Amino acid sequence: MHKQDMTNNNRMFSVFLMIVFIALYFVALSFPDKSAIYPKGLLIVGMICVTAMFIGTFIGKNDEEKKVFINRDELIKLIISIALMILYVILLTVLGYAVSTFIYMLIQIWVLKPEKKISYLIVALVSTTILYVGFGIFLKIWLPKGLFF
Amino acid sequence: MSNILMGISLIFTARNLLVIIFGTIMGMTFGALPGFTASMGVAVLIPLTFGMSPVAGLALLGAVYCGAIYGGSITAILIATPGTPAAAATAKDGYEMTKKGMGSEALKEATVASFWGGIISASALLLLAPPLANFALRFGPPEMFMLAIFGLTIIVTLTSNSLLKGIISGVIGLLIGTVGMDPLIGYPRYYFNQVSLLTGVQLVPALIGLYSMSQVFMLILEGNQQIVDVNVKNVIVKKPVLKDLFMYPVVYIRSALIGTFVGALPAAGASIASFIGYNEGKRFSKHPEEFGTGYREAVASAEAANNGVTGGSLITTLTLGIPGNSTTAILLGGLMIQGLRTGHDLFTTNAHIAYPFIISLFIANFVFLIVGLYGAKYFANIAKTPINMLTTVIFVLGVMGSYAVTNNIFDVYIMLFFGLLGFLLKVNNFEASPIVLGMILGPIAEQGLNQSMVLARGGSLFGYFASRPIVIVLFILIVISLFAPLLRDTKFVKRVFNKQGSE
Repeated sequence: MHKQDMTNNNRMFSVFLMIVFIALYFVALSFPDKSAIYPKGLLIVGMICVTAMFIGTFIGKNDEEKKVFINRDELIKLIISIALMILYVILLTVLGYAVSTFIYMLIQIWVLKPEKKISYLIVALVSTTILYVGFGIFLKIWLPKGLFF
Repeated sequence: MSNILMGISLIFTARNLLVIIFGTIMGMTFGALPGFTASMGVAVLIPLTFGMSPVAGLALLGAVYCGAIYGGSITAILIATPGTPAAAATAKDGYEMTKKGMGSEALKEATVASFWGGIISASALLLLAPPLANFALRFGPPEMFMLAIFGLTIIVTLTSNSLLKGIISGVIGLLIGTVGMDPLIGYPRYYFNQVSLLTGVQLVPALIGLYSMSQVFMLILEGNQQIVDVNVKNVIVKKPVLKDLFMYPVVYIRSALIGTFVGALPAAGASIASFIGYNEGKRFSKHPEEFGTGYREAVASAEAANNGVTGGSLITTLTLGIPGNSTTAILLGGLMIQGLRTGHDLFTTNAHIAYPFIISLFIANFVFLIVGLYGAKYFANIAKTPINMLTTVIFVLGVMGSYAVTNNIFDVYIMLFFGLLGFLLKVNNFEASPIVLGMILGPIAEQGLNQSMVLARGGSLFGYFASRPIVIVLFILIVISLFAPLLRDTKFVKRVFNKQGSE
């Protein structure tokens, strides 16, 4: 059962890679010859390998691989987390590093384990302070600036 | 010798020593966290180096590397969960020793063997790197092209369980390396109208994404609330005695040399070294039947080998710019951020940076020896850290590190993109190492080939290549490495790979 799952994964992923490689090959057609030879060559090698991987899924040539089990609830958490991450990166230049980091950390920690805990607030506050003061002020590393700080 | 003395005098400042102690402890912390690797530790802590002098910055990264490779053994011994893949061989006998009530001895042996592995390996780096860097002056474009190809073939054959997936990962890495202006006529390739991509994909954000963010996504998906349940109250740490330091001198030297050699090969990392060290330890032991049953010498064999990789992997990284493994690939990124170039220049013009850095590795080994002997068991508690807090903090650190490279928010999106790419590849059992090394070696190979074509002046490229002895030697090595998968069928190598796979 698990091996079958991995075969399906390999099949779908090889199709996905083939589409990406073909798209990149078409982009490379617009390059001058001298610039195009190398990426075109790589893409042809890539397409041959992906085809071999795809064919391998039908003739049982797949290697014994460990399957990553995906739980629906955790997948939802992951999707929400990725959305939060993107939102955080957008807000960095709007609100500033410290404010957006504090808000992001508080929400993200809660999303991953929804409990009302004072420790979440403390972790978000302490981490943000350490990062902002330690990196931004003490080590003088440039941090994104926004409306606040 | 004068360079070594200069290195010693430059590294022994209060600030540098504090940086090394901090880096080693952070490395041990990352190493002790199951699922987190030395690569991830170095990637996440790179931003710390931006505000430091090149010596302090590199010393920090080197200390994290040494500490993390050692730190993996702590949880391997106490809770049978290797903190890093490199400690898988240690877990076998180390945990058996813990079950027998000898956890303290196992921890001491792992610490001492790691220390000797690291010291011998750093000595090899100190002795071999400068002459090799001098020799590298003979490397022209054809040699660099062949060297990059050699690195790539080894990566593909050694890093992946599936040869096909290894090649595909390598091709993806090489393709990423083509982003930006091509080295021959400066035509912008695959930049998708993003000015930030004209100079290519920034290495550090890509590495943070591939190693740290992909693991953050995996941890979220796995959904555990803490990495492992830990109870180390029953492990009583006995005071180390001088004898503990010299229990198996021959084992330490043999395994450290194995680690150094394996480390110097591109892509052959600490996990392969520790299994070879373990197997060779068993072969030469007076009590091979004790291996696997909780035997102190077995722990020494594996641990000296995996820490032996640290110095070995830096030999090719610092002299030729060919990283020995993914961690040194990230270190190479740290080197570039400081505006340094690998090779002869690093050991002559920038000797005031290279030598203190190498000396700092010795100090890092002394630091984990002391911290490990007296406080190793407490590091196992790190595995109790709640995942929701750990992943969030690591993501925030990754964002800051990616932004700080060029103060460009675009690099943070690059990190996110590579995080998702790494996650997708992980779920489908692809490895990240061939991608990273493809990204680094690809531009070297392309530039070498283009310049060789110009140097051949319209003549036969093959004839030009064949007229250069180093190219011929590298060509032979490439052929050998391409046939390496066949070598896996030989008795010895099969044993090594089977043991690795069975963990």
